[in-house]
Amino acid sequence: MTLDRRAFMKASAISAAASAAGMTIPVQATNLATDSKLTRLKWDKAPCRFCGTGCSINVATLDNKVVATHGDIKSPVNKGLNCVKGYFLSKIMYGQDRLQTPLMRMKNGQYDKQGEFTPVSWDTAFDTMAEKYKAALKSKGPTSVGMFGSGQWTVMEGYAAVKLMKAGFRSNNIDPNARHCMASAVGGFMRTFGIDEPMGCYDDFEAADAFVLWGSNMAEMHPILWTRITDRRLSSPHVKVAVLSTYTHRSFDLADIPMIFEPQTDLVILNFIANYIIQNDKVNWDFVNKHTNFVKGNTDIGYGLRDDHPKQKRAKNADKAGGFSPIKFDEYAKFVSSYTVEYASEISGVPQKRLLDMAKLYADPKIKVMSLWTMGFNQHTRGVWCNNLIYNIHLLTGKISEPGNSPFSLTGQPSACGTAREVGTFSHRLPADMVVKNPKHRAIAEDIWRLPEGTVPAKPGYHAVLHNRKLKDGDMNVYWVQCNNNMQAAANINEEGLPGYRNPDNFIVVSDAYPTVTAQAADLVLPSAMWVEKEGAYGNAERRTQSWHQLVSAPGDAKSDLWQLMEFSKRFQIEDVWPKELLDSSPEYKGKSLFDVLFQNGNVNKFGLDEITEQPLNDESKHFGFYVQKGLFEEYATFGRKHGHDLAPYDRYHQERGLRWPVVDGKETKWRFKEGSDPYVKEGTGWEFYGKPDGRALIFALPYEPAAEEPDEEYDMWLSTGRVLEHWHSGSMTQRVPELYQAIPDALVYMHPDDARKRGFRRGDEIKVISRRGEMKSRVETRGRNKPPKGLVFVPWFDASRLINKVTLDATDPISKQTDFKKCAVRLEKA
Amino acid sequence: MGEYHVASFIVRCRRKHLETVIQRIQEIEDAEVHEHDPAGKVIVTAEGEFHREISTITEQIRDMSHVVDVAAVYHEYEPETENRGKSK
Amino acid sequence: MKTKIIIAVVFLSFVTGSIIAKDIANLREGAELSEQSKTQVIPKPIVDDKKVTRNYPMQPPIIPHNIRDYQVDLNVNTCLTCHSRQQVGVTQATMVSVTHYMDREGNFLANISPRRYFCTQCHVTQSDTKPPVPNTFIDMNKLIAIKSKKAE
Repeated sequence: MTLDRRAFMKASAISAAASAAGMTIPVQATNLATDSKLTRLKWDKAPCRFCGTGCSINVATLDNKVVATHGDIKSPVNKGLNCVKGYFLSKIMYGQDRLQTPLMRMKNGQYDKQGEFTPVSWDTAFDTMAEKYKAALKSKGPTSVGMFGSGQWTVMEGYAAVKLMKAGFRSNNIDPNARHCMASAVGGFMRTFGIDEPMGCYDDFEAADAFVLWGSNMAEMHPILWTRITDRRLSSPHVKVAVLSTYTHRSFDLADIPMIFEPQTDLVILNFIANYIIQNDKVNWDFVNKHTNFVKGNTDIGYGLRDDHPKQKRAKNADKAGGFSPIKFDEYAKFVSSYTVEYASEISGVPQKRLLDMAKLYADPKIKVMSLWTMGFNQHTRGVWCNNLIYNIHLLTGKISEPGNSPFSLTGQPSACGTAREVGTFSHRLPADMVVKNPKHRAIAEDIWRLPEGTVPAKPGYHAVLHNRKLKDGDMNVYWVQCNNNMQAAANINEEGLPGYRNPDNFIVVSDAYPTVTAQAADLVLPSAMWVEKEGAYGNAERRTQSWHQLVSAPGDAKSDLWQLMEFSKRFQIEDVWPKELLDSSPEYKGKSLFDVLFQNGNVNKFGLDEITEQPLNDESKHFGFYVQKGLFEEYATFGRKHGHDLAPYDRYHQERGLRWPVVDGKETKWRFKEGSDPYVKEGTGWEFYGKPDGRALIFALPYEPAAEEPDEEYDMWLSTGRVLEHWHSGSMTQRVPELYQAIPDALVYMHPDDARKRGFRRGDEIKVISRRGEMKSRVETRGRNKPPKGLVFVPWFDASRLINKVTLDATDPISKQTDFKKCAVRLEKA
Repeated sequence: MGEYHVASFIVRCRRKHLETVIQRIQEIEDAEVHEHDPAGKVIVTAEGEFHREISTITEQIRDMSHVVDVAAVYHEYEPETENRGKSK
Repeated sequence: MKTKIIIAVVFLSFVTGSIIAKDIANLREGAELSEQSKTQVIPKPIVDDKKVTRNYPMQPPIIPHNIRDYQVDLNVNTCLTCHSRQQVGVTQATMVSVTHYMDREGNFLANISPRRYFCTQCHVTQSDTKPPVPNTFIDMNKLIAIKSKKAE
């Protein structure tokens, strides 16, 4: 091999070690043929672009390009590890068809919804958009405009969008794609604890004696957290792992107690465990008496379907789905007493011994248990119930808020917590867990934002599933989608999504880095900067907020979502968007632009460019003339500081590998609600669930109720949808990385060989998956990584050319409004 | 057909004996010191034709007095041929 | 001569990258959203046992052989039966990287760290099928070569 090659390998070895040791990269080995100035790599930190685990990365750039990444050895989250997606972060920004200029549908030089996509300038794009917004606001008012945002937005972007929509256009029709992934978890937190987000943290992994995975496939979806479980399990022989799912997947490789259950019967199993604890006298009475109350939740709450659907009309409590009333322990014990092991086994299909083995893990006070769940519980028509029920178990036993005892709601997206939930980019929310319905909360927001009373609308807007329905019905006419691929991601494409976007009355704007399925359905496509092409911050599943600097430039004319939101606001005078009465109460705003009112209000523009000390790149700040990200972050942080959501000063995040909030007196909080660990807990209480006025968490009596659509004679199979390790979500980034595409190129139909044989299918045959709503073609896979039981098929949704959401049902949890992507009825036919 | 192995390590040693340790490592053939900090961390590479040689060097350093730890960071090797596998 | 070709290749990828994609359905073979193109057969994995150059040093190498029915679970780790330190003398397989012997705190272990146990979280096989969208990532070697050529 050439001397250059050897020298290069050696230089790489040196730079890796120096970086790991936290030293500057030394001058390269002296026998390198080229000038060391040319080979110097610049290493900076950033969070991974992908899942809610929130690994930290070191990114190497050279000549304005990302050339390498590796897992940050210093980060407590991943300690140097990545998963295969993380290892290819260097390539995700370089798909050849990166969007670099706005594209608008045109005919004869004019916007035309039936026209061809034509490159236009940003000016033309914003001119047309502003025209459409103003027309809609004038004719139908604020409820006719909507925005679909993202748990992959940076914190600043989510916050700017909330201001633009709720304070600017005065519309609550902003909802994030996190509605599809975490809304039920939020519902669970708010109902049980009165405050959002996990009380434990990742430190629980190294402390637990048992792990129970409730319908979550951590091996593929939270791989680095899975390595921590694997490490714990294989290093300590007493540790046990229980895995529950509706089909066998890779997480079962580590399972001591594997359980396959009939879809929806997780509700039964959860109640059985509570019953087991009570019957075997394992209730932690000291804890229960001091720290909990018992309530009974409303039942027969429907399925979030359209009002004229027979199942909705039949539901007694569809309009009071979230209601509950106080009861006493005895009534609760009686309620769960029917959930015997015999009943649970019969209805779920799980052998009694397995159920009992798992129940013992929870019941034994000496075993520290970590329960983990994501989409199996959340994407569920009774998802909030599942979340409440798992907390029941941890509350009955007092196994909560201490190392290893941890009901842990895992997050899917990199910033569903940090952006969507904490900033409140929902149709019913404001930052820091506040809600638009509460006049006190609206007043706080208006005060911080320096806006007149009455600016923020009180009525919750349309949520995700309603967005598509309202677009189809023509009630919402101007719609901006940023940083997600909802045409591919949302259920029931044929009946709701596609007709909604293509409704001639509607103008659809999509901001993305790549041409996606959603862009294909749009009228105007705006090219977005991604990941380290902009400065930002994310918040992961364990409440760890992490920030990063811009490291490279975006290609062509691509601009960050943040730039787009702020620059667009310049197109509006305040008179265009606020009614006369509101302006009269704050005449100082008359004649100002929306940009002035929202983003030059003395808070957001508080920090000058001289505060940007570490990195030369920050395109947004240079454009607007002030340190935009810091200004937005600090104004946003005002909402949460001293209210249980404390964030550290912005600059601190650039020094750390993230910090877990609440950060009080410079110190992060590992376990919330526990005296000694959480500064908000009053001395002497032990535990205090301060989200509730009396400091007590709620134990809910909630039953089993069937799924929205079950297999029948005509559609005889369950369909479950989900993901695979190698692709992130809709594949818009990962399908453009050759190594990831070639790892698993197509979405296959995973099924049991007997089901295939019965229908005359062989592996590799092209078949159709058909439901009442649509169909999708794919190929049969009978020996893949996912092995469904008989009667169920699994299809992942990462494939733009195989849209399984044409088949799925847009039934939701009526409380959380989150779609159930795991259960509907299909039949299979040869294509 | 041999190979070329290169590996890098972070060697931690007692601060007081930093100079001695660096000198001793430099005496080992095919080991090289690149950077160090006053806290006692030293960046070292080892090269060799077989993996065994890397391990030998690692052991030698670890056995030295005043060395607290040797942490491997990176290891790559390639066969010594002219036409290696090309990138895709 | 070689360096010149490298520059030309790089220039081309910059140019093609900036051409506006009039066809926006690049992952769908241009199909309308209401339609679906014929699905390709399940591609076979590439199993020629040839090493593939990594994009940068820390990238986990891809698996160039068949792993069908390989078991990695509580009972056995098929991958390590060839790739562990003890076995490579016999099997001539690539030894797992020495980094796999470190625990979470950076201490060296006698055996593979359990945190590295599930190989396929990082190492993947490759299907014999052409990606629909090319990638314009540039190897750092190439960038350096361009820079040094410019510097001459």
